[in-house]
Amino acid sequence: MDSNKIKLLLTKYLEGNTSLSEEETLRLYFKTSENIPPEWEGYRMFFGYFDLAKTERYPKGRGKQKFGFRPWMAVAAIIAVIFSIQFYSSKHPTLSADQKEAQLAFMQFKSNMKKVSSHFNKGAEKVAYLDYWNSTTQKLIK
Amino acid sequence: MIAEQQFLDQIQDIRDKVFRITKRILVSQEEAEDATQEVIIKLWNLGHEKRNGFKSIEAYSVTIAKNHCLDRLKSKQAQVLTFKEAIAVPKTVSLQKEIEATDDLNWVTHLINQLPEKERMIIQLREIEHYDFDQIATILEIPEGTVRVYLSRTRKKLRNQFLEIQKHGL
Repeated sequence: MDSNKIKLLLTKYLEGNTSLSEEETLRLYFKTSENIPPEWEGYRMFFGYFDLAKTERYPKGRGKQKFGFRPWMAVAAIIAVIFSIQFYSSKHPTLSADQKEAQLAFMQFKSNMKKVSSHFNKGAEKVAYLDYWNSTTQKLIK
Repeated sequence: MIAEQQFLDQIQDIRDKVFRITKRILVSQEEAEDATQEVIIKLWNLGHEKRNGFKSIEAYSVTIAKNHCLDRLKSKQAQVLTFKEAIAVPKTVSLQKEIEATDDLNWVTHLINQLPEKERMIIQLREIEHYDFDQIATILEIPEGTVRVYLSRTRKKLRNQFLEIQKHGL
């Protein structure tokens, strides 16, 4: 291929005015020619890359991996559910009658203690009032 | 199941194209695979008759792929991923056995992938998929003249960047 013709085509190419068949001519030139001027080295690399990029394919078998449902998956899921129920119930055993009674007793004790402490606080407020009385009497004495 | 298999055989080329285009826009391999799946599902859901009613099922597929990718890019999460993977690109490419002049091709991949998405798309559609201007205009939903302008600008940009690298090194 005449390099003057290639030069013309490259100018056209950069302006976006080459047809697909002219671009094919360029592609072929850069793919097959032995003596490509160094200033055109970039074109050779780009056209080489375009050729290679066109061969890329969608990865095979991926669709099956993503959507494939196998019977063993169902079995595995059931086993997993059974194990997790067992695990859960061993950590949270159901309460016996005695334990329920003990829990109830504890709740009652807790609420009783709350009442006691609130009454105790009322008493403490009265004591604080005495303190005020003290300070006023001291002022009078002075 | 048979109909599904037939459908997949019928669209195999389209699927590869959609994959390459989505990968060019999204950069990330995984995101491109997901996007391709979604396009295939959309095509399947159209039903046999509607699919065959299109003037060009390929142009339609590429257009919905493009729109899907641009939506993905708009979501912030996708942008972070793309950025991360864009940095990692030279490494993954160098792992491909069939590439001979690895370093040279890394440069090219890098130069193309750092372009804005519109320019990446136009390079993919013209230089790699070899669509004519009319088809690119349909897919990108812009006038043919604009396609030429974009293409010219992008080609010049890539050429200049390459010359820069050649002159000063990386």
